[in-house]
Amino acid sequence: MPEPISLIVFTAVGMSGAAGLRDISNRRSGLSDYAKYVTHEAKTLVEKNDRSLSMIGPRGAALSDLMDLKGEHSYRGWDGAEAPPVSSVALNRARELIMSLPSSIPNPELAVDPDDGAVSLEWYAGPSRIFSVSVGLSLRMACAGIDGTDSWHGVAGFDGTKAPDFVIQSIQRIIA
Amino acid sequence: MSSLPSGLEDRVHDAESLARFCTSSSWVAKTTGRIKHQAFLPAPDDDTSVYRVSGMSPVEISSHAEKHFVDPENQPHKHHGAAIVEARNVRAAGIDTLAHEGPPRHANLRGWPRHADPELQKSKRKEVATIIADKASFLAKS
Repeated sequence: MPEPISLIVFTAVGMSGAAGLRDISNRRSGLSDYAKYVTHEAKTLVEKNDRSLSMIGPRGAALSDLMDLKGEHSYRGWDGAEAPPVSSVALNRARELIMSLPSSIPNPELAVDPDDGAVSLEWYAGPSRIFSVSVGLSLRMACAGIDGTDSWHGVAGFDGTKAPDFVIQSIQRIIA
Repeated sequence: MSSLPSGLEDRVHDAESLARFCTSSSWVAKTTGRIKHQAFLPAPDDDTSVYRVSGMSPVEISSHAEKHFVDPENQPHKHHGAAIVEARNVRAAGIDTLAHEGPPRHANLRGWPRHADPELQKSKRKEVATIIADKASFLAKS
């Protein structure tokens, strides 16, 4: 009886990472029935992973930056004062917002807010042309922007699927 | 004008340079070194802590942080450099700069907007902090 997929993944990744899994999926000759089964399952996993990465596409860099935020901001007082840690809820909601952005919107720069541990997405188009939105525990996101001598602020609701029009229009204003 | 223990005047002049030590690498744009507004957002006590650094060299500013920007156990806080901004630019954004020595040369940025709606309050504070950060420059740690 073939081992479960989880054991195959554990063995491959544990031994040599994702490259090990891809190597197993590429084997061709001199295979027993069992080895052929393992190769087939590894190939299936690699194909699923590649499809996921292609769906992430140009947002991959932003999502990678998002994951990097956790290490430095995972404990209370990371700012030298009383900043709360960045929460997994805020990170997940930030990921949802990034993935909901139209392809015409460039990737944001990311930061963590010291007042409440929210994740901030910021777009910078030059001096005095900045817009940012903070994603925290609430479904309502605090936003602010400056465009030359104009500045504005507001609150936008986000249900996790469609990026708010207020956010998209603000970004388009400063990158225009 | 009376003097503080540091020897500085108790009133912060518009032309004075203020240093906000950046305790998160995410507050400084990786590619350009631009200061982001998070560097100036107030702490839960509604103050933003800064140091008056006019006339100090970059090495002296770093040394000052090592000695006075410390935790309760007197260990220096980890920081990535300083956001430098003139007091006049802080005041132009509607925030005051008030000397507050405990640590030498320490001051607070005070007067952040308030609103009963927490998200609306935060959005207004983001706007103000963005205006201030837009006038700030980054001084790498020496």
